[in-house]
Amino acid sequence: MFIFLLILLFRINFLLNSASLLLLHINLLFIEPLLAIDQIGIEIFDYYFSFLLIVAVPFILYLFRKRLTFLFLQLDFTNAFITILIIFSLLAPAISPSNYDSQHNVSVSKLLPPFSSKKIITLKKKRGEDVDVKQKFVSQRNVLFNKGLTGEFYIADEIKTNNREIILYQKSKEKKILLDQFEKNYASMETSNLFFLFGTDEFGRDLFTRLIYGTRLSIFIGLGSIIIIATIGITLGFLAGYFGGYTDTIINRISDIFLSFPNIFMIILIVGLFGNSVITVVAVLGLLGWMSLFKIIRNESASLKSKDFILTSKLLGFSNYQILFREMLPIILPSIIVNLVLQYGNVIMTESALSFLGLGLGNNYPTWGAMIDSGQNYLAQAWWISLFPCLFLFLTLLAANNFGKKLKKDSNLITSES
Amino acid sequence: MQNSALKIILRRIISSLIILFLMISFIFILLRISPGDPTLKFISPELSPEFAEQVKESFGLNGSIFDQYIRFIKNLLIGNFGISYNYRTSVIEVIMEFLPFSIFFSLICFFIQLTLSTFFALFVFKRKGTLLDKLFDKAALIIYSTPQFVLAIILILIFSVSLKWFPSSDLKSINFSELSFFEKLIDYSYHLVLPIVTLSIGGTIVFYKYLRDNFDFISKKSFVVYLRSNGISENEILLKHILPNAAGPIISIAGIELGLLLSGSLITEVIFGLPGIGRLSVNAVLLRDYPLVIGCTFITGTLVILANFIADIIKIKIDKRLVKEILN
Repeated sequence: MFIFLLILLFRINFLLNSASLLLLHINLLFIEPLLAIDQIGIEIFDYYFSFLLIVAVPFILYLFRKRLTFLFLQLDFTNAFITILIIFSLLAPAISPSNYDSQHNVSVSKLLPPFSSKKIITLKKKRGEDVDVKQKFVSQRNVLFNKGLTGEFYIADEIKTNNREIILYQKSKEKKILLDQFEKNYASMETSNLFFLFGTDEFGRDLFTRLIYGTRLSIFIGLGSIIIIATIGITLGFLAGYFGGYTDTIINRISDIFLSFPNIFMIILIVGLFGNSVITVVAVLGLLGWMSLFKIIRNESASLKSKDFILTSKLLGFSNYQILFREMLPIILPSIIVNLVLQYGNVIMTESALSFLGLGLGNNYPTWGAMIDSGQNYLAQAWWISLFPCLFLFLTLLAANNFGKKLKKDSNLITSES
Repeated sequence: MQNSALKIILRRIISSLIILFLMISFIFILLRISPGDPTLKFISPELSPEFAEQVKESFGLNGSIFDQYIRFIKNLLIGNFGISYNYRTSVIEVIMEFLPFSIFFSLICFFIQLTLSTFFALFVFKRKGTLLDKLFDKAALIIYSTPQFVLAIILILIFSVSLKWFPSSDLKSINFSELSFFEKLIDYSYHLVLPIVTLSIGGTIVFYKYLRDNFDFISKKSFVVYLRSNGISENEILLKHILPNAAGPIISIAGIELGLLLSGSLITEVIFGLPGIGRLSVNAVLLRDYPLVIGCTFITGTLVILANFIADIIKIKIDKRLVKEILN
């Protein structure tokens, strides 16, 4: 709630920009529907989504505040950090102060320490004749994607103005803009500060932005593989535990084979051989992580099988499906969830390790592991590049472990009381 | 008794061999169906197609996958893993070059892990419920959730970049060949401090946590109360009665941990640039050095299974009741 208000305050510019872009897009939809549909990509959808979310969520929270009491948790480290992660991943475009790939001027902005800021001067062209909706749409989209930095802009350590010219100091170079020329070509100019919260990397890209986008990737990869793990683990676990016999022995042997081998090596092998797209990574992490969940479900369902209420429901003529999902699953669910939360931390860690070894998705998209890896070469000059992703990764894992521990405690209470 | 144990051990060996064989076959098939051709690096388009065919044949890549597999199995039975594409010597030689370091390194780490964790667990258990206990509990969780490479980078940042105490990578100094034997030894250990610390801390914490919880569990049992009521000193109870009883579950975890260490701690070796099996196998995968990949798999698999096996045998030595339960 509070964070949404903060975003509203800080990024009012972004909100206005995306609102106008959305309006323009709708406008365009009426004039040239094909082009408008063509424009809808993942990135632009992302912006709309976060915009709508920011606007809508406070209202929803306000309207349903009585039903959503679980949101008003006691504030501690784990809850706070998990909330921050979720918000980072959902609202990445709204929070990030600049585009994750924009480099500005490399000589000035590379390897800046955290909390540094640079002067930036934007020269605005005289208003041309982009009355056309299409042109307006494109220019507005550029403004939105680059966070207001479009057209001609210069980044500098310091800016001085005389009555004849503007002097920009860029490291050792000086750049002069003559006022006469300026007035001929441009309408106005703005000087502002560009602030780098966590500094910049070796290409002059803002680390804070990259961190936020990396959060998103880590969380999505984690979720994807957790879903795969849950499906495989639950199905096989029930098959082995409930039906027993030959299926039990065969599946158990398979899981033993998987367990008798260092997991990370297998993952590296597959990702190294089959290329490193998001889908491969998710699939591999999911396919090689189901063993512990399988063991838990197998043991629990094997012991539940001979309990009275299961036998009764069998005699009452319930189908296997009904017995498994209506009767057994709710009882095993707490331990499944605890296991999945702990696995989630594991998966995120493995993914970062993969990116760290250069096998992840670091080339196209910022990930934590890749950032740590690239920072490793600059440890002596720029410790912040790898330190902040390290810190984030560590805090995420800590939060996941803490959360799992807490859930374990709570679920044990329930089972022991009943 | 003796006879049945022997029989069970034999069965265990056979089943591990089957698992190893399945593993290797799986990786063989995985390698063959993966996209990309390892011969492309050694052939330029200007060379004649016959020559390309020759290179393929020398790499054992001609014919269908099934033919290749048959040939591979025949070679395997003689103990021939083939020739590494990259090093141009037999795979066994290459692995033998890297294996001694890995074994030495991981045994040192393993030893440090066990001694340190036992020491800490005993030390903290005696001061149960104090601030120190809680502090260790929190610290264990924090260290447990730090990935190895993050730990390594933070250690490098602190000790080799800002304090400049230890070198950040490699095994030898530049002037290594000029040094005398003892200086060489010192040089080695000087370079190994950071990797050993990185690799040991994680395992130490795991062992510590298990030992500590087991101590708690066992000290509540009635036989401890009985011993205490007979006037046996606390120290003696702890060392002679609680510790051996708590060690049981630790041993199987230690077996898994030793297997992981022996199979090459990939990430530590890559970060610190150490010549171990882990780094060798990562490089083999990246360079598509098929025979070497299979050789590394075989070695790591054997080591893991061996470590678990040894752990089980030690467990039986300690507690004879477990024979049937474990080995079946």
